[in-house]
Amino acid sequence: MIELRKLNKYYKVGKQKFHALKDVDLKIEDGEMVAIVGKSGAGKSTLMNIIGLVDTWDSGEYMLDGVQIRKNSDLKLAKLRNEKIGFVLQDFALIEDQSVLFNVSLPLILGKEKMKNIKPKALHALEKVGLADQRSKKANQLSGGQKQRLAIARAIINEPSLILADEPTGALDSKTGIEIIELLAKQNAAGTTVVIITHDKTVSESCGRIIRIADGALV
Amino acid sequence: MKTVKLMMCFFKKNPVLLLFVFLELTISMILFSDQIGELQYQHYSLELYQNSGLAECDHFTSLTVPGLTESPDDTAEAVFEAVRGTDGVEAIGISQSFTGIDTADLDLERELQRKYVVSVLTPSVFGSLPLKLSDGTWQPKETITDSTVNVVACGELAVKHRVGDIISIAFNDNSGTENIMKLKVVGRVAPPGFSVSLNMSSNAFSADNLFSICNCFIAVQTQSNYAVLSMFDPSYDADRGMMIRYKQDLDPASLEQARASLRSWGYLTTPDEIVENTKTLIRRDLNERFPMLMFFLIISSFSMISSVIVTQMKMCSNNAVYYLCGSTARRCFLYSGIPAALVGILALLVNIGRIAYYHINLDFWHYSKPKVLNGTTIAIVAAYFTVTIFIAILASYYVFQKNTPIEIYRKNK
Repeated sequence: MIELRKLNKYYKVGKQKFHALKDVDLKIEDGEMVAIVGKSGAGKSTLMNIIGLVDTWDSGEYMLDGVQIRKNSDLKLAKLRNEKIGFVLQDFALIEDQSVLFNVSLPLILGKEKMKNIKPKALHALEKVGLADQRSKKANQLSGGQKQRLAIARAIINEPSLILADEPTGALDSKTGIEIIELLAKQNAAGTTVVIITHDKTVSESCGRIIRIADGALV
Repeated sequence: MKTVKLMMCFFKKNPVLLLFVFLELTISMILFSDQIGELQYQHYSLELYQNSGLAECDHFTSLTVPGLTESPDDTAEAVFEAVRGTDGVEAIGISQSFTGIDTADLDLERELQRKYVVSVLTPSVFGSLPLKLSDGTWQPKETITDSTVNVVACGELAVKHRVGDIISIAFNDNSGTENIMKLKVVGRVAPPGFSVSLNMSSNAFSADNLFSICNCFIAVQTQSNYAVLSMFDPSYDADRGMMIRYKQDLDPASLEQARASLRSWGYLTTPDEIVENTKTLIRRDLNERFPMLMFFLIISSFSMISSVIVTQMKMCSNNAVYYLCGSTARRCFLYSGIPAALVGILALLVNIGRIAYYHINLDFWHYSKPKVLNGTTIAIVAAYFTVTIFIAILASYYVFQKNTPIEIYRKNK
């Protein structure tokens, strides 16, 4: 479960302070599939970065799975990112000159998994997204849809409790986009909490709940 | 293993460039350390020369090449006698050698037989050789009455043999008859393990020409050694040059007359000239060759540092992905900072290994020269590489700080 209480985030813009998130109160239950929608600059990405422990906040509380996330050390935050959160981004965020197998294995390589267990788990994750037969190819040899599926395989390999997807269908055609959302929905059906940032109405309407944000505040 | 896998990503970004830089850096340091070795040798040989009895002797090489004709006057021995007979000359120091085969290998194929060179030096000039011994002595007190020659092991033989070892060798004497002689090791030359060489024929003879790397046994022609060697009469190869000591009571005019007489039929170099020639050589190397090699080395170092910067910039997108997948920013830097240092570390290890084993000489512009490659050379090489590697990591870190994983992630969004 994700719980944000009176969360505030400021950015420095020159000499001035920009209030990016204003007293955000948000609860996302386990197993929900939530869409966050809003205009550009509303604070969607900032909110997702904080939830994903990629960015810090200035005041307020963040609870993840019942544990309060304080301004922990880099090491603890990295461990949480590795074990509890998976990312799916619009630009796929892959290592283009490395193989499909290497890309999907990254969370395991960076985590505590033993070397001998990495390949079987990687192949299992690739099978779930239908890419097992592409394992030897380089990431830059895949199509857009295949790249996004690879990103999803990487996001789920550690069986995280949360998947954060930032415009996962933004760079894809509508048919491929639907396939990607179906994959995410499948993960959600298996019990993973999925949070999607999207401008696409079809995508937001396929989620169980829609959260609107405008000018840094939830509407 | 997992860390190695991630560090390999750094090398895969620019494999050809990094390999080229590694080779360039390694070769430039080999050439540079060789030059340091040559300079060290030049200083070493000058010090040896100046601190020995050889500093009182002239060096001489006749213009006659022994053996060109069948005339009895055209032999090495005739040349030596002619020099001995010159007014004012008290004694000459010559180096002659013969080769024998280890008797244990006589039944083996020729290529498998161990051959030993025995270098015989006249005691009147070489009685107090400047070469330091790691153990043993040049002239043991006891007299050996059987057919044993006391020898000092030099070069590789000093490593293989111990004081007290007796080696039996077979060789042909002047009549072509095969003989067996025993050599007893009474001393071992200390590293760098040079031996005396008089083969250089030059009108600019210098102290560094006096020594050479030689895997041989040195036998000073003491009374007991002389007795044994005379008995066997081996077929010698004599070095063309010789050291000349003049009579102690010779007045300056007579000395100059003797020198003028010798100069008329050979190259003569006086002790002052030997010292001056050596110093000129050192100055020339310091002013010409050394700066050129230093320049090449610095250029190679800059190549390495710039290639590290370029590769680090290529690694920025990787770092953002590692960060998302659960790496800290510091770890992201380690996966590229350590490989950046590895290029330099590998080049350093190659150089240290080479200096330690002294296998490869990449002196392309000259024939192989004696060098002193020792702890000082390793220290200089290690110090230089440490500074270069440090600058490379610093440069890599600077690029990383300008493009942290979180910033790249935000930029890409």
